[in-house]
Amino acid sequence: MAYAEAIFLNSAIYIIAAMGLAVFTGYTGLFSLGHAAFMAVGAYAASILTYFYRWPFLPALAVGVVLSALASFVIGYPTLRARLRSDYFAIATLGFGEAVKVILENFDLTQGARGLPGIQKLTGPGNTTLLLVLSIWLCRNFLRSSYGRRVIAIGQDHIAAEMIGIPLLPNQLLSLGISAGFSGLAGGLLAHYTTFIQPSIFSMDLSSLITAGVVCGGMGSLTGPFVAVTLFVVIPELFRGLALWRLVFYGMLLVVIINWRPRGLFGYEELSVRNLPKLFVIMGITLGLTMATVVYKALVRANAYEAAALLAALGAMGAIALLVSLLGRGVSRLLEPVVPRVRGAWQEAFARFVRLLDPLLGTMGRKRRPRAVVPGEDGDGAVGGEDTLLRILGLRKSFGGVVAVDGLDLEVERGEILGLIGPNGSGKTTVFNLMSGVYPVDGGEILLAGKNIAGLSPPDIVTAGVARTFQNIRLFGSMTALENVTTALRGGADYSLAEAFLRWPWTVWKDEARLREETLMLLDLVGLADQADRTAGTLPYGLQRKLEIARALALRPRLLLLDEPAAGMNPREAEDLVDLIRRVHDGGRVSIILIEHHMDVVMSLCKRIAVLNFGRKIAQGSPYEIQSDPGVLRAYLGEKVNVAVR
Amino acid sequence: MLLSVENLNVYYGQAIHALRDLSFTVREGEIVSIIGANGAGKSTLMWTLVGLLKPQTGTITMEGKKIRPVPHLAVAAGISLVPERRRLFPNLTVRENLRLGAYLRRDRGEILEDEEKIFSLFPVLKERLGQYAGTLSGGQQQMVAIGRGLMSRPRVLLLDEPSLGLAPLLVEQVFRAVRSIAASGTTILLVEQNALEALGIAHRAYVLEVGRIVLHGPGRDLLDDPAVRAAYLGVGRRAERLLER
Amino acid sequence: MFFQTVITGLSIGSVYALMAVGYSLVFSVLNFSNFAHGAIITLGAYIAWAIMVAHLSVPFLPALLLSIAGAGFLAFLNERIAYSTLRRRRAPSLYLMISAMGVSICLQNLLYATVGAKLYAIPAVFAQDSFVFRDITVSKMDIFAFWFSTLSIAVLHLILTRTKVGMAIRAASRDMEMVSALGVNLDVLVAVLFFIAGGLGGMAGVFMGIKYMVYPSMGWITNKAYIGAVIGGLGSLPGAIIGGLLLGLLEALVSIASIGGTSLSTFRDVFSFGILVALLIVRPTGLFGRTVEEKL
Repeated sequence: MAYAEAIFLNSAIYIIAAMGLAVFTGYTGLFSLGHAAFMAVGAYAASILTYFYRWPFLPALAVGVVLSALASFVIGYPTLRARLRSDYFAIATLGFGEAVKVILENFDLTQGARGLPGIQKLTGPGNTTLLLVLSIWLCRNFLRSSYGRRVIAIGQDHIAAEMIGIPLLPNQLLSLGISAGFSGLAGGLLAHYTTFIQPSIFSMDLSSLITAGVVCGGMGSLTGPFVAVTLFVVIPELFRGLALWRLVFYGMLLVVIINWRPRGLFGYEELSVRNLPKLFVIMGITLGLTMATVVYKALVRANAYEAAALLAALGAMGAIALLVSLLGRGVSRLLEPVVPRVRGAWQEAFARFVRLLDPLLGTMGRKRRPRAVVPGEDGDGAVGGEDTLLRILGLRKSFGGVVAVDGLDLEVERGEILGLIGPNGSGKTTVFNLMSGVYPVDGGEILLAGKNIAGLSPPDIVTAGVARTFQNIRLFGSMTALENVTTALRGGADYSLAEAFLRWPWTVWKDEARLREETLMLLDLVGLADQADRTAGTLPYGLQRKLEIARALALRPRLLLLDEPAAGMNPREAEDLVDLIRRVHDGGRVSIILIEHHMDVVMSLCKRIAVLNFGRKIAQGSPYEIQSDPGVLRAYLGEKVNVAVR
Repeated sequence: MLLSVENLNVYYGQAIHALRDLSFTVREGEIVSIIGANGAGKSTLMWTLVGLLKPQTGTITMEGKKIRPVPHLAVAAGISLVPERRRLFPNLTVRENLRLGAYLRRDRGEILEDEEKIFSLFPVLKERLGQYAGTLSGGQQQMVAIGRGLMSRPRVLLLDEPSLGLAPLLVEQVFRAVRSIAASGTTILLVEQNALEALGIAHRAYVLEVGRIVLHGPGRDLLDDPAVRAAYLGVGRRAERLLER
Repeated sequence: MFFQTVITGLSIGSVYALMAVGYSLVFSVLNFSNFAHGAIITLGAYIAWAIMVAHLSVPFLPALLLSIAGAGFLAFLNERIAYSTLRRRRAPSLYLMISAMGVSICLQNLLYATVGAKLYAIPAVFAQDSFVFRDITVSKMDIFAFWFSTLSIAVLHLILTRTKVGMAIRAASRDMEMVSALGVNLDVLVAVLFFIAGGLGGMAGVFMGIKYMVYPSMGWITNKAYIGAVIGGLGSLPGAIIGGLLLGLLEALVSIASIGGTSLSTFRDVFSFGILVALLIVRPTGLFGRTVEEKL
């Protein structure tokens, strides 16, 4: 029994650490090689408190958690602010991990490299189970909240995330802090289980183990790391003699997984009735392996031939694995009709409970945050009803020696759809990129309702009321269509981070319901209401385009920038798109700039068209004027056009 | 038939069906132009021909032999690409850029001969052999790029928008050079946005629209065809119908 | 004392430089940090030990050359198994780094599991001989290592500037796709690249093994070399050399420095990593590196 307890405690501790890393690496997409350092901080902090100052266990652990989170700020702030590319960032975390180890080795309080022996064994099955369940629950709540969604969006596509108003730095730091906190908790539990810690325990090997668990388990999932880490603890126990080979195997596994199944075991999926069979297969193989070793050892002890014993063992493993897998299939089929009903009943009962206590708890202690001013809903609020919404003056941008935008002047009237066309390389997308803050501006002004937005950060530009879509669609592929749009919703959620962690029913539930309704309205507008729960990456191309437009609309923009929305569409799809854009335009509620090469689309939507060439505007006017403008024809068809055209 | 493409279907990125059931041919000694608006699939076609993009279905046949969509096989079969925007190696000299074009060749003497031919075509290059390609002007870069493409002694030279970003005078120079290259026997497949130059120089031309060929004929004929203007600027029945709504 | 420190610093710095060149070479073309390089370096040392001491008695120079070839071959295998699939699929460089990590963990622990953690010594080739000049001692081995490394880097330079393959490698560091469009077989090119990088690494491993000891986690030192490569600017070969030498020098100076009486030597490693982090934040391109602007 003590043996089982040991396995359980070991697994639980590593699972908690893995949960933390999963939030940061798996979901936010930032690869860390130094998380053992946070475990070290948590371990030492808690141990020093219980050992030298006789603190009770849980408060000591709590301090460890807080200190780890704070420590993460030390490495996180400078590196994340510098926007390092992912492998540089990983190396910086590696350096941090090593540095922490060296500091601990040279610090008197921590007794240096000798370590701290004699820590009380306070970690037991009771409190560990509690903390494990708590950790998983808190992580899950966080990831399902609006705070979690923002962090996940960054992990999916950090550029698109910025374009829908999510500032990178604070959210990445939040994710890192949470993840470090959980690592600190794991460290504290570890220290009070092994009763002896020294800096060399918190090595890169430990970081690698947990990282391997997250990668092999599957990024974007909590179930995956849970299962993978458990396997990492359990399976070596079966092959005691091969302890040294454990890490050899993990290394190989990392290479295999990242090359041929980067999704890992449960990438981007959580445990559900649908993938229950997969879990049973894994359990079956593990149980089978256990049986196989038992059978093998028993037979060898009974003097059977090694080869025969091996065969019998393999047979046993196969049989058990098969049995358990079939069991899994059966259980899954049994539960399939049952689970939704049970879940529905539970949700109804809980909802009734929530409503009951609502008058008491609903408004208690909650600060209602003022809804953000939503431009575009009814005019422009403070700004006087000027006719020109956007004025670009002398806009300039060069890349290296190449001039992409060369003194562009452009105006957009309030409520119009302006077409922006021009040959390849004329600078159209660059203009959009400058307007949405992707690149800094070399010169000129971009005045939105009088305010210069040139050079502002993308989230600030979103606040000012500009939204865009991309030429090559940038959706959050592993989120559902609903989540894609909800993440962008202007004003966002009304609950605090603490309430998010607890999934406080009286605020979070209600708010999430409100957000869902708003999102469904937007999806309905673009005709995607029935696809709300479908994963965005699985949608066909045309629907993905529509979803991107819906997501941009969620920002309630004054000005919508559409970058080649009809790219790759056949005429029927293009007509469909034209209808959609008309609906979105809604008679002038949103002003639109449309970059398109599909001339039918441009001509049918835009009363005014501007033509760019070599980064400058060469013509502007109605579709008819443009079609007969010699300068335009020259730009597209070549210099000799005057000779050829009758 | 030197180069023959049949039922080519190419997908770009996640789901963009860039080329749809494309079929065309190029005969030896011809200049064939493919024109079309942006997004029509012209560059996608070039990349597929040289093996950098894999077609979902369809075949590319060169002198009767099917080519697998792998770059070094395509080049070995005699296809050479002068890519859009030149794509020279800025950290290599002009001479090195040219030499790289002849990477697969071993006949040292003939490589030097071909170099001389290119110098007679573009004399300014001979003066700048040791200069780093990154420091050249746009027009000079285009010359090096074309030279590099010729160094493999290709059977078919693919030119992807050679006039892109060049001033009109340089565009004329480039197309003069293209005529000269064709005159000395190299078959040319030219892709261009600048329709009139491309049509003026071509024996035969195809018009590409959203991944499909919509017009085909001798260059001269297409030059006068109003349907070409329609394909670019949407002046046509479809657009008029939409405008009425 | 000062000059001796400088000599010491330069001597370890030259090993760093050799390792750093291997890193930068791969980075310049494939744009990722090959974490498995450390394992290759370690294996180079082990090969030398195995054929000089443990199993055979091959004399030094042939052993060195065999180790170089062996390490080069192992690096080539490493690329084929762990990177080529990802490269062909144009996977993000992070995936390549994760794969490299996996290889590194696997190989290092493979050594622990098979050969064991014991430290081994490669016999001192010039038998502890040194030149003494005033109060400065330079071991003959260090001089040989320095000379041999310089020679090898000169050969590398010749390969890069005078051969077709070298030209293609240089071109590939700017535009790998275009290189393949010219008909160059990228698989072969990358194989050659890794063979060269691995060979240099193996060489460094042998020198390291002679200078210090041979043990499974000696690859850890390559983290320092990596810092040297970053200081010089990843992707730049002269940068790697200068960065490696500079780091060696700085480390040696920090070792003898002290603030208010307390020696800083124990903080030498923190110092090096501190430089790394600071550099990545302030100037990730290092001294001679290139900024690549992300085109959307």
